[in-house]
Amino acid sequence: MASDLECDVLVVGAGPSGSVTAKFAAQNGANVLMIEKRQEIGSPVRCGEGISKAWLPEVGITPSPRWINVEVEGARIFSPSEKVFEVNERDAGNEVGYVIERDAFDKALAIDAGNAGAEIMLKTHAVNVLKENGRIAGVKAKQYGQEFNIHAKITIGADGFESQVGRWAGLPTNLQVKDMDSCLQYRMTNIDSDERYCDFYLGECAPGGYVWIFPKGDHLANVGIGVQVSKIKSQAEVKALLDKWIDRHPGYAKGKKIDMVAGAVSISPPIKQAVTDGMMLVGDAARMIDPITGGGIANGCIAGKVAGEVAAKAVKEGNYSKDRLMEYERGWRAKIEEKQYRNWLAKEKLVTLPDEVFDKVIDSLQGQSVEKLNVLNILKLVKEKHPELTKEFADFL
Amino acid sequence: MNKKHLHIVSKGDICLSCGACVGICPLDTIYLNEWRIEFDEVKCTRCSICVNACPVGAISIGPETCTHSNMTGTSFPGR
Ligand SMILES: Cc1cc2nc3c(=O)[nH]c(=O)nc-3n(C[C@H](O)[C@H](O)[C@H](O)COP(=O)(O)OP(=O)(O)OC[C@H]3O[C@@H](n4cnc5c(N)ncnc54)[C@H](O)[C@@H]3O)c2cc1C
Ligand code: SF4
Ligand code: SF4
Repeated sequence: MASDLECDVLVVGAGPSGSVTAKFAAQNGANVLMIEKRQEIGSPVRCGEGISKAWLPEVGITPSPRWINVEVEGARIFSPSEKVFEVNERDAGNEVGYVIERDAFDKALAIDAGNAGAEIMLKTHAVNVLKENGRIAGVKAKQYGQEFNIHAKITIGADGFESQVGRWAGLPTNLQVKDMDSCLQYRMTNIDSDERYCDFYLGECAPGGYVWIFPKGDHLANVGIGVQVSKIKSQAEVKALLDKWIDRHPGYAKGKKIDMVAGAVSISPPIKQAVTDGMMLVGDAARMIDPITGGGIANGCIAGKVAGEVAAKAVKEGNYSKDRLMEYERGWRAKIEEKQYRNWLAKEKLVTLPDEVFDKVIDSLQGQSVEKLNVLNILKLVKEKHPELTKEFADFL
Repeated sequence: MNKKHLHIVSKGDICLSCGACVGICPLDTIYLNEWRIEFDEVKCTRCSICVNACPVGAISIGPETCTHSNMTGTSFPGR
């Protein structure tokens, strides 16, 4: 029987959200333990690997050639008949985003956490939460076949889309089938893609989601699909749709697959509650993914910083109650909630549009430019041209 | 048929160990044990949401339990 452990702050899951949380908690003086069930942080990769740049300084991440593959100039959005709306900041001389090497990125963030003083344990699964006097007081964990308890003043659920920590604690993390996308991606070489852009294909080729091509340089790219779970009608349909899309595009059909990854993302409104006595949820575990883009790295890291700082303060004060941890709830909501809610409303509309409407909208946007490439600016353009499509969320634009 | 006669399995030769089904299941029923998907057959209602949602179609519900071709995706009644 392995012996029990104790710490101030226990972080379950060493993805980006967990590592950023662990780093800021440790940096602010807490004794932090981060556990990860895999043997290797960041691997296997389950990600399209596209991120925007603007938020990185806010969470203390310094761009590094160790994890940057390509700097992209912009995005291209393709309608079902493959009319293109190109958005870039090239005119402003800006590069808008990176395609990253996600396993190296996750490791870099874990290294930052370790260097800030957090302990890290690999191959260590949380299998349940510990409850003491009505509060979460750590987890029951398993490592190398041995079960033991980890007692913590504050437990952070950073266990990703497959999160169970939140469920065990009774937090409302369950999703409706219309608020999830099921995803599959191939890394392909020998393809013809424009390496200056991240490409998105909308419409019936990916019901309720999109096909993406994120360039990794040298004719290599991530070619993936996300499909709304409520729109999937048969077994293995997600794979069939991606294969069909590739077959129809000769520049990709000639490519060779060197990797295959799958996963799911939430495309939901913000959850109602991400804290309880002794516990906070961050990142995918708290369903913080952007419902339009399906990207979750940025929001997870932004929330992680707040969670880490609040956890360290709460430890210093000796108060781990839900009331104390509400500072985190307010903090992440101030940074994420409105945008996530607005993009969820926009997604709710988008998934109802037939191909003809997508064609019409994209057609009318051609030649338009945005000053800064983000979802809000694109939605504002749509509002200008097609107010009827944005009336459900016009107040947010 | 009684749900006891319908086993839920993830075929190890198809499964990518991606964890999508774990988060998609409305109950705390599926667990990704690093590479292997485990189902709690007692809790599972056989609602089959996960069956279509699995991107590669690895999950099936039927009379068969694990075979040699799905050794890494066995079903564990009551984890
Ligand atoms: C196919 C696909 C493509 C995507 N593309 C993009 C993209 O291009 N850009 C973007 O921003 N986002 C993308 N996302 C979303 C992005 O991957 C997530 O938002 C991001 O990984 C969230 O980070 P996280 O730290 O919250 O969770 P994760 O990165 O999922 O980390 C959770 C960690 O917790 C560990 N864990 C889980 N359960 C336990 C347990 N019980 N005990 C111990 N450890 C546990 C896991 O092993 C994992 O390492 C994509 C997702 C998918 C599926
Ligand atoms: S059964 Fe399907 S959804 Fe579940 S982990 Fe395997 S591939 Fe992913
Ligand atoms: S059939 Fe339903 S209850 Fe059973 S594992 Fe799948 S989603 Fe969960």
